[in-house]
Amino acid sequence: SENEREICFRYECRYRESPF
Amino acid sequence: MLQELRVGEEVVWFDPETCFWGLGERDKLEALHSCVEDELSREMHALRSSVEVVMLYVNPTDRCNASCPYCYLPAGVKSRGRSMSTGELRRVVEEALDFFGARGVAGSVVFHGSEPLLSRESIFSVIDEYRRELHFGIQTNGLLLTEEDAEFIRSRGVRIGISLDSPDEETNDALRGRGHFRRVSEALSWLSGYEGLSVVTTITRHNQGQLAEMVRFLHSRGVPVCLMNPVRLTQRGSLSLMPEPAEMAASFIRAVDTAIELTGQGRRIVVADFANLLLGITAPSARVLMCDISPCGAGRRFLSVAADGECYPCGEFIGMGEFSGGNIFRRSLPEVIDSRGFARVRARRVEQIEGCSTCPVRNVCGAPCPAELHSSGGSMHRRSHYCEFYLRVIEHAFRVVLRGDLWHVLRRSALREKFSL
Repeated sequence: SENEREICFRYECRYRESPF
Repeated sequence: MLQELRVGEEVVWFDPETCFWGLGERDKLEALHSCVEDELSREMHALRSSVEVVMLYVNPTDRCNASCPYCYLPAGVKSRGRSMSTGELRRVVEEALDFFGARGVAGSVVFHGSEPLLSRESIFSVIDEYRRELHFGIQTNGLLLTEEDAEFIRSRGVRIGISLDSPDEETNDALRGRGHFRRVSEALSWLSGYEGLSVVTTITRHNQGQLAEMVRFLHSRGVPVCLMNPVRLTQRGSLSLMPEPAEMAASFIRAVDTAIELTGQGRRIVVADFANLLLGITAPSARVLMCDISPCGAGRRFLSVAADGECYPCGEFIGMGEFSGGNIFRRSLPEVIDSRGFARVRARRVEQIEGCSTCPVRNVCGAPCPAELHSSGGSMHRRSHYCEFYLRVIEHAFRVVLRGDLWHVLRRSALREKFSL
């Protein structure tokens, strides 16, 4: 199950507005 | 075509141009990449090519009440002792306001230094006059900060960055001056828990091993954000203080993991420089700090106004006449931004730098800093003095995602998913 792990994504700014 | 990147025991597939990446079956990732590549290319082009100044750093005075050995301002600038009058400062802020207003931008003005609190009366007066129209920030060494100042800053929503280099008084004061640690510790007690507070730590060979301890110290004092910046080698005085990149990276990574651990326990603390690199591989156009984008933000997203009114692409260039865009009291901001000196900095791209042009993570680190490279002998079109540091820390950014800690660093509420597998 570990070997078949899949991760792939992308985010953008949703718009207090800062991501950190 | 995706490139193979090793992250510890794992292999991820990465596109250096768009910063698309994934863990899993290569064919499946290539198929998804081909679906989104055009859109991501447009996103990266907008991020990297547009010129839209949204922030002015303003030095209200050349003077400083400290003498940090690694200061990036030339001694000749600080010793001339020029300060803007309140009227001149108001003119600068009105120039900024007109410029931002014409472009529909809610811009920012950050009072920077030397030491801006030596002009306390002027900057507080201007903040009170324009705070409904502009975001304001102050970057200070903290020595002059009073409890009354802290109340002013909180009540006006002004962002404040305070310099502190070590949780150990002796180490800090050897760098920042006797008494600095105690003064800043007191200032932090007045500003504890204030969401606009950050602490800036300059990493040198003297404090490079203390970064995790520093995160614990700041967390215990209610600091929500810390910046840990490798010392810029712009001035000769900083060369002997340069940290060892691999050792600094190991210490920085321990600090990041300490911040993640503490955040997981409840109250948030973020190492901003790391969070920005993490955005570079998860939401590149949402980055907040501009040093790790190529071209960087100098003369493109912000500019710096020295106390004599001369404008530079970034504070790191102050005193380097060939990069001056002219004087804000005699030239308009659009003319300053269009100047040859500013254009030179905007023309620096990782694709043209030997060693960076073939590096897979060139668009995550951005190869900072052009001012530092230019002033330390030779061309700015060279790779970063801290290349090894960035490679190790960026690998850790992948590791943080793979182990599921992304939202212990970034705020999910500020981001929107574009796609996922």
